[in-house]
Amino acid sequence: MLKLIIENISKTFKDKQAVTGFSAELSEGVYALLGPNGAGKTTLMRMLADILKPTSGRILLDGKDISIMGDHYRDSLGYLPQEFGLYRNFTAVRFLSYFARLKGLDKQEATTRVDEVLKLVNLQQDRKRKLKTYSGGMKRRLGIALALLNDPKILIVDEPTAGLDPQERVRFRNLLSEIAGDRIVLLSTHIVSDIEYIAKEVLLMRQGTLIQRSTSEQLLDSVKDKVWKCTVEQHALPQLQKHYKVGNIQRVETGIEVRIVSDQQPLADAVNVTPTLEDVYLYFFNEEVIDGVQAGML
Amino acid sequence: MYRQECYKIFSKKSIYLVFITIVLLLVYVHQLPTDMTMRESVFEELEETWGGPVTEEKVERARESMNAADAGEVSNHTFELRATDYVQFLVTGAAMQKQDQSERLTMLEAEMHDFDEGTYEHREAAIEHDMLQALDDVHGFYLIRSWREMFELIEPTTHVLLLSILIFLGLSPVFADEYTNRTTDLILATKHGKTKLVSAKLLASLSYIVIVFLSLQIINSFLNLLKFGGIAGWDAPIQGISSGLDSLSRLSYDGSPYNFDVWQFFLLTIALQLFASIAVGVIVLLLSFLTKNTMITFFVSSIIIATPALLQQLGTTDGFLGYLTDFSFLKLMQVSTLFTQFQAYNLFDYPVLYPYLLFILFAVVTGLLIMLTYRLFRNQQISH
Ligand SMILES: Nc1ncnc2c1ncn2[C@@H]1O[C@H](COP(=O)(O)OP(=O)(O)O)[C@@H](O)[C@H]1O
Ligand SMILES: [Mg+2]
Repeated sequence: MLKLIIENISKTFKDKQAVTGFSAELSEGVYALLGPNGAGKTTLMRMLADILKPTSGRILLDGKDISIMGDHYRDSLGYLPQEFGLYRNFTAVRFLSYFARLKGLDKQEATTRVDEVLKLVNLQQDRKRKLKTYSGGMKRRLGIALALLNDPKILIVDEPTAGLDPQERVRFRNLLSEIAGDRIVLLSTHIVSDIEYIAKEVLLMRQGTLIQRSTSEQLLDSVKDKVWKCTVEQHALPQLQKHYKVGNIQRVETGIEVRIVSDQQPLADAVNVTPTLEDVYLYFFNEEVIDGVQAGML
Repeated sequence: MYRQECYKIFSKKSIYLVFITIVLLLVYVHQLPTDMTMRESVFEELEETWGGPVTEEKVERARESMNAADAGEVSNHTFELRATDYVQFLVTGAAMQKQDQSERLTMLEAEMHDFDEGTYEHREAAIEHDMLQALDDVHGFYLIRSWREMFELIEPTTHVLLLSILIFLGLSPVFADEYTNRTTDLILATKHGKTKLVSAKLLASLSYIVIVFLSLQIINSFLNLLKFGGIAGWDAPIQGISSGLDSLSRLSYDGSPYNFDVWQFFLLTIALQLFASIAVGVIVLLLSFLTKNTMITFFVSSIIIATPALLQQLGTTDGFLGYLTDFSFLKLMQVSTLFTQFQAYNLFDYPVLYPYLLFILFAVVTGLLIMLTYRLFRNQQISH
């Protein structure tokens, strides 16, 4: 049984506390790290990827400190950064072969494994093309292929769906659940729809700290009676937005249909509706509401 | 990994463009006419008569013959006569060098007498004295063809310029490109991305330098063979490469205290130049890592190489700046200039010959810089 323990880690940049006393225990399965921009997701993941040292705290894989494990830890690691580049003049095969060697595969293994991962991410037709001709979605898939080369026990993917169109996002989500297997997969996002169905647990992160950890069902449950829908006049909208967390806004024939997350019934004619993870997001990340909703609506 | 690192370096088109330009320049320069290449067979005959160490008798004959020519007793300026005159001129020149050497020996003996044993001055004089003493009848006329221009590309400063451009061009991107391409995060999170990658990059860079260096050497040697028509003189003492010989570099070794045959000196300079190129390569790599920018690396590397030349031009070569100039990458790369005269440095009261000190120093520095590169790369933090 695989166990990754994040033990009270913090990261401070000069004057900025990016991650504060974050602790979690992860075993096989897909975890979603959900939080608005600036929550510290990328910083946390970089520390998990052994490319950034925590200011304090440790990370343990099966009881061993990863900073001591070094190569051995990274041998079990697949990491896809939020933003990454490629060698424009490399073909996909050359690119992956290079990384296969970096990941310690020997020549023979590298050849077979490169084929396998290319198939997995559905890029085998484009294997001989130069990477400068790749689209954003193809680059992401290539990135996932790269992360999977060494069949990692721990897979860390930082906002893998950012910049993808909705169709590509769905495909990407499917791919991710397909490859989850018996690994620890930690996926960060600020887009809630990414994690519906695939995440075993959701870690909500805000201002550098873990504020809640639960399954998506539990999360939905926690806002069950707090999501409302009602139709209002256009001019009432600003007032409403001032007092409540307002989600989706939709123009309908009779006025404007708004979705509101609130502990109390906001208006007399508001009715309870089934919550989605977007509502959960709205509920937990009050200040960052605008950003979150906009991202969710993409 | 090594192969792909090589691919990254060698897939840059600019290096081929510059390489070809350099080769064209070499070809152009080598077809410029040289007065006396000694290609002609007449020089082989002249060597029979005048070749080898100077003797009283040869000098005497040479002087007489030259005086006769000057007096117009022998007219009729055929090439043969001009060649003879030229060789006689070299013979008398060698005689003067020989004279200088014996005077220098006397002077050094006096110095050794004046200073107590155990003083630095005494030791320095003793070393030079022993070196000169060990030179056994090295002055004379030797038929030296290609070798006089084989020790550098055109001349020492162009040599540095041409090689540096190629090294900067090839190696500036080695680390910097990973940052420009934003691939460092990917690399550092892999098993071997923190250490073995650096080895692969160093090895690929080394391969690049060796290939560039040797190709230029081979082309240069070939062009010289074409120009001078042979390898005659390979077993002559380097003192045979005198200031009287027509050569692009204008370097002469007739006052050199070093006891090398031409072929030995050729191998030595090649080895040291290769080492110098590698040392320069290592500093470029470190800069490439530190600046994370190809252009800046190119720029800073150029400044590092060129500054001593500027200081020399400005004449500020005293004291600390003088040391900086003497122990600079520029001097290190100008290997062929290091052995033309005696120069020693005081190291804890012991004189150490300048070229050897320079190389030992840079071997140590290069080793340290390599270690530093490994260390910095391994410990870098990604947080941009
Ligand atoms: N190198 C750095 N120097 C200073 N502050 C940083 C640095 N990296 C990240 N931060 C800050 O830390 C916080 C968390 O950033 P990040 O981990 O990128 O969040 P997220 O990935 O959740 O958007 C942000 O406020 C960011 O500005
Ligand atoms: Mg981020």
